[in-house]
Amino acid sequence: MTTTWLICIDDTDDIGTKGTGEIAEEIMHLIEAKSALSSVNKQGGNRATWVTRHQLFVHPDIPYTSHNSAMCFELESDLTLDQIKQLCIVHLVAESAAVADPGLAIVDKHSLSADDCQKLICFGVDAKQRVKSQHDAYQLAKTVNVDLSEHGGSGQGVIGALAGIGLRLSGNDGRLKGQVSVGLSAAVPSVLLSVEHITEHCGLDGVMDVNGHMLEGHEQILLSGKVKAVFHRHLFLLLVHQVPEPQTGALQWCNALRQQLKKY
Amino acid sequence: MKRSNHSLLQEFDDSIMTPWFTYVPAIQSSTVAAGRWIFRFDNNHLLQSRQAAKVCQYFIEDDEDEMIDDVLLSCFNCMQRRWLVDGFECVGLPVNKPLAE
Repeated sequence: MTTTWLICIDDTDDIGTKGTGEIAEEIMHLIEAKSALSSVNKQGGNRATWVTRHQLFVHPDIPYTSHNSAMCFELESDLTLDQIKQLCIVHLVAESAAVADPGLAIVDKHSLSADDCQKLICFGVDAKQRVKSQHDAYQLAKTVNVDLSEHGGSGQGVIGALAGIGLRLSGNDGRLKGQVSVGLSAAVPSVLLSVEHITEHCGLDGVMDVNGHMLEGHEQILLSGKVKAVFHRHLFLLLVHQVPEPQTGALQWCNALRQQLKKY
Repeated sequence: MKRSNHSLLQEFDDSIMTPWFTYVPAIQSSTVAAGRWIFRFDNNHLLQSRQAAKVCQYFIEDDEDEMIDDVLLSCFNCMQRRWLVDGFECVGLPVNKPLAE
């Protein structure tokens, strides 16, 4: 018997300390290692699992370190809520910065009703645009049965942790933590791959251009630099844009620039 | 790159950052003003962000996931920039400056 868990953490870092995304990824791997089944994103052994990064509101009243983002992931596990929570807390407490205010949110995704999901999504979207309080977060968590807890400092991170759950549920927010592995190295600074190859071998669901159009499987993408993806329409998508080829002027699909990724 | 020219911090003249940053004193006593360094531009001004980082000796490379400029040496990619609603402040530059007479 397995459960699909959504887990989100926020406010764990400080300047010069390990990032929240890295801690989230470590927790995910810890839980996977202890579980009979691993991530829901793994299919056929070559599909990676992804932590998503969700940008929240930046405002003078919010005590974030430098960027105010929450990190969320989804996985399937046979562990109980108590077991998962314990793994999360031990790692959070060990790895969070001394001055951080870590928050942790855990929920059985399939236990949420459509109304619960809507409330969580609204909270997440709201937390991108205005200041929310810890009281707001705890109230909602109680209503929709999300396990929400704080682990040091002011505990302010519970707001982002709950918001991250809502934004992940929305299916239309965030960038994927880390880079998509396409075989680049110092010796291979760029590579031309088809959409089909990318979806089969890189753990992504598709390729989308910066205007929101999905690319066909046969189309070729020139990949170089940092290859990053986004979470959109409940899919993990490589974001691309078109650039004129220097010699011929023909338009070539390339992986998106960071400035194009930042709105996700 | 994680940090550039760290050994030269003692000699750093922060006035060279004023083309890109405004120093805003916040709390004033008889001799010291502690304040904030606010980027003069918004977060679309890549060129200015790169120019500033090029001369700054406090640059610390942020997590790769938090970078928004494809050129590494850019204030937009620095761990010491703190995003604001329409720009950022630098928390790496010295914030205790002698008051003008």
